[in-house]
Parts: sequence; C-alpha cells; structure tokens
Amino acid sequence: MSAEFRSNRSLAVPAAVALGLVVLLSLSATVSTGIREGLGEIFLPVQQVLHPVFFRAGAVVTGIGRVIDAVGRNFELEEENAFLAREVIRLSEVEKENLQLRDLLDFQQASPYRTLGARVVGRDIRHWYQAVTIDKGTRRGVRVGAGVVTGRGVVGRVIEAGAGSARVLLLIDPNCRVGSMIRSSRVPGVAVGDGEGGCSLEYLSRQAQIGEGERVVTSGLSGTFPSGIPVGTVTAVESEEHGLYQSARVAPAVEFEKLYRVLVLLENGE
Amino acid sequence: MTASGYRVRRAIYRVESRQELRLRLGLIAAAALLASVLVESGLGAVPGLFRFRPDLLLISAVWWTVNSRGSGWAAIALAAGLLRDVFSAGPFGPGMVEMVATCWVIFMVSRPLVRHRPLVEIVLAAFAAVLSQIVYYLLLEVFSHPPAFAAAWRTAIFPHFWQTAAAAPVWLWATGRMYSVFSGERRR
Repeated sequence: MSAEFRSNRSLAVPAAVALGLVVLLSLSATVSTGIREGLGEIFLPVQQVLHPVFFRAGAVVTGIGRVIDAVGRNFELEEENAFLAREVIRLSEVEKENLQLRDLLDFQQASPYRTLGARVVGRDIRHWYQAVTIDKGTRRGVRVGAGVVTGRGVVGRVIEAGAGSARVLLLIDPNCRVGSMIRSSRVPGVAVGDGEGGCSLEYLSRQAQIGEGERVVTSGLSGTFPSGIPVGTVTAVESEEHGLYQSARVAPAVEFEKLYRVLVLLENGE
Repeated sequence: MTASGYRVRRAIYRVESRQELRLRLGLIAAAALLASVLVESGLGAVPGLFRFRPDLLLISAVWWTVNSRGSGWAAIALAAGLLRDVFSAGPFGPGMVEMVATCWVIFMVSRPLVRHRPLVEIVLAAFAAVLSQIVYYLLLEVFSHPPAFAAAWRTAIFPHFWQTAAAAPVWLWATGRMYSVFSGERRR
C-alpha cells in the first residue's frame, strides 16, 4: 500500500463522510428512492450480463460433477460419457426452459390479467430480505404492488419500480403477505414468509379441519393476485391451546432457488 | 554520444502527484467494491447458492480499511454502504451508517494488532460480519420494524456471520490480488 495513501491523517475525509451521511439520511423518501433506482439502472446492464453467466456456470459445475462420476470406466467410454453428459445438460436446460415457458404460456392464456414476462437479474444481498431484481420496470408498465408469478405459483409482489428494473419481495420474506385459502375447504388465511425459504398460513379459523398435503391457493381478496394461483402445500398444522387462530406451515409451490423467468401481473382486479 | 560511440538514452520517470495517486487508488477501490457487490448479487443465480450470501462487499471494505492508515477508509466505507443500500431492499440509509460504523471499529481495533497477516484479516472480517449485523439491527429499531432478536439471529445475523467468515479467505486474497494487479505494486 502506498505511503501516500497511508499517511493521510487529515480529518477532511471523515468529516465529509459524516456530512454526507447526515445529508443522505435526511433525504425524503422520494429522493432517496430516486437515487436508489437511478443507481440501480446504471448497474442493470452489467447484472443482465452477469446473471446468465452465473446461471450457466452453475450448470457447468453440475456437469463436471456428473462427468467425475464416470471416472473408472475405460477412456473411450469416458469420453463418450463426457460428451453425452454435456449434451444431457444442454438438452435438460433446453427442456427446463421449454417447460418453464410452456407453464408461463398456459398461465398467460388462462389469466384475466395482462401479464409481462421478465427475467430475474439479481437477488438481494442481505440476509434480512428475500427479494430479487427483475429486468422490467415502469417503462413496460410495472407498478409498485403488482403481483409476480410463474407457471407454478406465486412469487411475490413488486416493492420498488425503476424505469428499467423492479425489485420483487418474495413470498418467503416475512414482510410479504398474500391473501390465501385452503383450496379444498376454502378456509381463508394470510400467507406470510418465514425468512428461511418457507412460509406459513396464518389466521386460520380454529374450527377448520386442515390436514397435511392440502393445497393452498390465493384467495383473490388482496387484489394483488387473482384467486386460485398456487401458493404451496401444507406440511404441518400448528395450533396453540388458547389462541384465537391456528396456523399451518406451507412449502411454497415455486422453487425460489431456481427462479429465472417470471410474469408480472399488470392489472389488478378481475 | 559517448566516447565509445554509443548513444545514451536517458530514462524518463514520471512522478505521480498525490492527487493522481489518490484518484488511482480510489478507482481501484471503487472497482473492487463494484465487483464484490455484482458477484454477490449474481451468485444467487447459481443453482443451490440462492441462500448462500457471503458479504463480499464487507470483506472488501475490511481489506481496504485494514490496509489504509489514513482516512481513505471512511470514503470507501461510505461508498460500500451506498452500494449496499442500492442493491438491497429495506430503508435507504442504514446500510451506509452500518458500513461506516463497522469500518471505523475495524480501523480502530486493527491498529494495535499485527496488520497484514491473512489470519488477522480473516478474524477481523468475521468480527465485522457480526458487528455490522448488530449495528444494522439497532438501526432498524430506529428506521423500521425489525423482527425479534432471536429470529433475526437465526435468519440473518448467524447465516451472515458464517457465510462471510467462510468466504473471507478467498475474497480477501482476491481483493489483495486485484489491488496488486491494478496498482502495479506489491501489497507490502
């Protein structure tokens, strides 16, 4: 490290930093959101390039793991196996993409909402929030509060929308609440994220008979999602002795770890 | 022309001014922070790594803090905090305060210790990982509504600590390498 850099003991920089902090913290919500969205827009093109690179790198690592399994066979078979493994990865990626797009298309045809396809380009860098960034924003009609889904079910809702990108709070975040119900009995509740990759269905009537394996779908009462979109499956029912309600743990229908393409619901109200 | 008939070519040295040096170091630091946050954000795309979120930005900021004796760390911490707030949901502002406060503590704590030892840097990064999250939790008490501390510890503070500590050796080394490559000088 250069001596010049080390030896600067002036108080000017800390003072400027302190002043900067005071100014930034005193900004109104509109201005601070504008700064955040403006800077987000600058980095969006890089994220758009990097995200697929990481996605494919992960697939390559998986492919290498598969190839290692073939060690011990003879050279010719090993070569053939490596080639086939690469082909399988490529084709399975194509198949996955195909299924994903078909799911989205099916949903798009069945949905009364106008929908917009978007790609996930980044995730939240904090453990405190379960959110992702998508590559569509207000320029394409995305608004704060809009619901986001895949062909498999509910993803979350938009909490910030810039011109070319938007931030989506996922269903698994404790701050995300979605009006839901048990599909078979139509018992209403509220799906709340647990911050650990799952969610729970809260405020269920104590009188309701709920069993494991029951499907949970959106109720349509919140206005963000139409009714009937899959939220998840009940894995356990929790009932306190003296509580007013019971709750159920729910395994989300969407695999958030493999989130890549999503649909934004552009119009609320059926 | 010398007596032996050879032409002597004089070497030309260009002395870098203090401002130029600061600008160059600032640009390297900015690039390092930006690379950290973009990798951190993009890492979620790798299947199976969605919930593995090592705080590469903090590790990078710790490296710059430990390796600067002047006040340059404060500007770097502010820039890192700004990036953190931009790439994260939640209120705008606490990320900057958290990062500046954490780097200030690291700067103060690291002075009496033997600096520039990889193990010291790793321990400092792990310590910073816990400290920053506790500072953030306290800031959320002021700016927002944090979850109960036990839940915050389970879902955010502890995973942040171990994942950052696990990634620290690699990312500290990478930041050091990046510095060496772009500045053209050895770290020490």
